[in-house]
Amino acid sequence: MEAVQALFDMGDHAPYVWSAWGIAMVVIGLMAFAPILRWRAFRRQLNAVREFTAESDEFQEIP
Amino acid sequence: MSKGVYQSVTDWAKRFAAPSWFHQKAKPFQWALGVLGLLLFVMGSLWGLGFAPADYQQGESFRIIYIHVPASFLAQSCYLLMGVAAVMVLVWRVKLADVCIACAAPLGAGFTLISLTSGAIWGKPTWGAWWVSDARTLSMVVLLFLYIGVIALRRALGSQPYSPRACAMLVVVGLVNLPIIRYSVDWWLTLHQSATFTLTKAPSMPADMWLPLLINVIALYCLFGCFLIMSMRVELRVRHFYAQWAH
Repeated sequence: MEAVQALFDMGDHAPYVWSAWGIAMVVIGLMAFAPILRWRAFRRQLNAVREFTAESDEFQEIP
Repeated sequence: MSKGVYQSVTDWAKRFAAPSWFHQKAKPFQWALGVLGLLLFVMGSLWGLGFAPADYQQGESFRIIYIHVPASFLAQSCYLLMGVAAVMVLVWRVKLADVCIACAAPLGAGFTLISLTSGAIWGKPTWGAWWVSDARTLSMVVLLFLYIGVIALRRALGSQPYSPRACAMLVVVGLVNLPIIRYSVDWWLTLHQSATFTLTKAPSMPADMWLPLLINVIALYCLFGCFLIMSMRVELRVRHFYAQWAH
């Protein structure tokens, strides 16, 4: 553990290095999950519409 | 070029531009690029953060280069890709190119944001200031505004029939910013250092320093490819929900 800590020890510059990398990781994570979340939201919305049209009598009758 | 070759290239381009063909064929590339990008990124980051030597002048803060430079490369390459796609929209009315612009703009904005924030954080211990308004930093801010402009224009126009052409025109106009970013450090006297990597010269850093950087550059290109294909496939499924191939 100490060897690993020594390997990644940045001294006084640690806050700068890790905050730059932290922000980058958050942004890259958002880029990775955005399409997945978008697709899930779209499917949820679509299923809600499908359920509504299946339950509602108005949509069962042919006008 | 003989007519036969021209015809086959045109046919191939038409087939490639078909949403159903892209949706089906791009899927394996999405996962391959994602896995390769992730592995390379872990390798390059561990090497850069833990094993590469510290810079003799800048010390440990130099390690920000392993995220700053790859993100800056991607920020500019993404806009270049959007420029090519915009020409395809304006000249050939390719719908897939419009999908590409729509999906690449947020990714480009993300990479520009990483480049600007990591640059600002790197600037504090190196230059003594979070922000210095020199030609390179300002032209990168303009690039971020261009990305935001494309995203905002698309949102504002929605599904209007002229929306793809309007966005494509904005992208083409913004292309002028790319050579300004690239040559800003040569044309003007700036605090920002000159290019780390060039195609014509050998790197001035030792291999221990530039190899992890090169690995991270390749890794972020792979991850960008993965994210772009993922976004484009979702966008195509949303746009063509009632098509058989989208299920």
